[in-house]
Amino acid sequence: MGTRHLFTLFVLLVIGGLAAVDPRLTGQTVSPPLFDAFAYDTDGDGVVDEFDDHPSDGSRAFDTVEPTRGERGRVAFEADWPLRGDDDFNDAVFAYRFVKTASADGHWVEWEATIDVVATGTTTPLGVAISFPRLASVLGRATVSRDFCSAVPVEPEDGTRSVFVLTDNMLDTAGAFPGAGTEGESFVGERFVLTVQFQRGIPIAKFDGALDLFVFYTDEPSREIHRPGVEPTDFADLGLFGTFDDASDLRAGRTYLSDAGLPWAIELPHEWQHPKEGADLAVAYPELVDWIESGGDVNRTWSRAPNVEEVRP
Amino acid sequence: MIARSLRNRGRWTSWAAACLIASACIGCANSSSSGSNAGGSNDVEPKSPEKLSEVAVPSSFTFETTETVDIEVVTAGRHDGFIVIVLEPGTPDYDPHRALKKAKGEAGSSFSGSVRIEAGASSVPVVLFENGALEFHEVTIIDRRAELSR
Repeated sequence: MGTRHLFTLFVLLVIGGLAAVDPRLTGQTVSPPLFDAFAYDTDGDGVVDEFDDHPSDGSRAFDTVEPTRGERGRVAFEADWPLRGDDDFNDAVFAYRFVKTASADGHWVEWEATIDVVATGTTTPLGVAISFPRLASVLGRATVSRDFCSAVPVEPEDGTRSVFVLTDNMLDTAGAFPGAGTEGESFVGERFVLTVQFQRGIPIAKFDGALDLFVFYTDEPSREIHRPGVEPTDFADLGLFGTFDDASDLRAGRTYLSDAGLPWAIELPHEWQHPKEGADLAVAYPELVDWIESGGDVNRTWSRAPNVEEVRP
Repeated sequence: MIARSLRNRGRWTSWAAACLIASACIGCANSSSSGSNAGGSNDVEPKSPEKLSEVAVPSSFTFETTETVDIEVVTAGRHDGFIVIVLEPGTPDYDPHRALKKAKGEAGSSFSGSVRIEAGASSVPVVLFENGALEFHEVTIIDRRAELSR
């Protein structure tokens, strides 16, 4: 077969191949479509691929993502509770993403919390932990990985809630030191991934929970610091409440607020630039004051409008 | 000429005095009508606190930036059940990249669940996929609850 014939054959093969992919080349209609995410259910779990977050895994279907699929959130702490500090809210700053995976038939499969240390603006050794609603009757297995190392099994400390300690001292790791991430230096802190796998058949309608990321004093573990309104764990020293600047009313559920109504931790449901060392939060975020004094009615986007001179880039 | 000059000077003096008085009146009117203070021209705009510790925090304020909203979706009977997708507040149309929560319901059943969203949203988008069709609904949030009934 001559060169011309080989070339012609080659061209015909190419055209034929393209036609199989793009019917416009031949004017033919390809039916059914090569791929239709609204019609196909690859893993056969009853959820079409378009809505299936795990289209090739029949045991998993839906991911509930907090804060959102597009951004991580932030939790930032003032570490001197029950005393007020300098209100720069960079003593401990974490980025978080919380993914809760359910099966197609509405049962929990797994919860996964990814926590990145963003800043450690304190010399006080602090531990980091997560509490969930009590998992004793539903827990299958839990693991923690640090900085992409292999995950190791972890047992929760069970009381009214289940507590998973990510680290006893966030300063005692490579790359973390007092003041890290609070000035202009580049800092990449440690990453923790807590994975909780459920026993079979735990319906999502009967068991659910939010992420409670908190810190505690390494040398005084019963001294916990949570976001305002969050109850301490069973392992906290309740005798610290109402001392110094703390004005908590545990019976009313008003926790971790000062007598002036100020918190020791804040959560932001988006990427956020924390204040530089010593920069007051009200100076770093000029729209914050009106948001507070209006009771949250105005300047709801205060956390997205920093004074760029006073925050970490 | 001198007499006319004197008469003119007097006229100009009177005119200048009238202008000065008028400008003073206008200045007074502007200061009393501007700003958030109603009532007196002597009110002064409050100075914004420079420190968080100086802020007047309302007694009921808790620095809440996220909240949990309960979602309830009730559908009439359909052939093959439905998929409910709760999207981030403010999402104008179905966008899988902005889905907060998804679940599958059987035909004629309802869906109950909750999502955590930024505090203060007045509505939340909910998309239903039933019988091969997508429906977009903007569901009003009342007392941290969003109900959709079809």
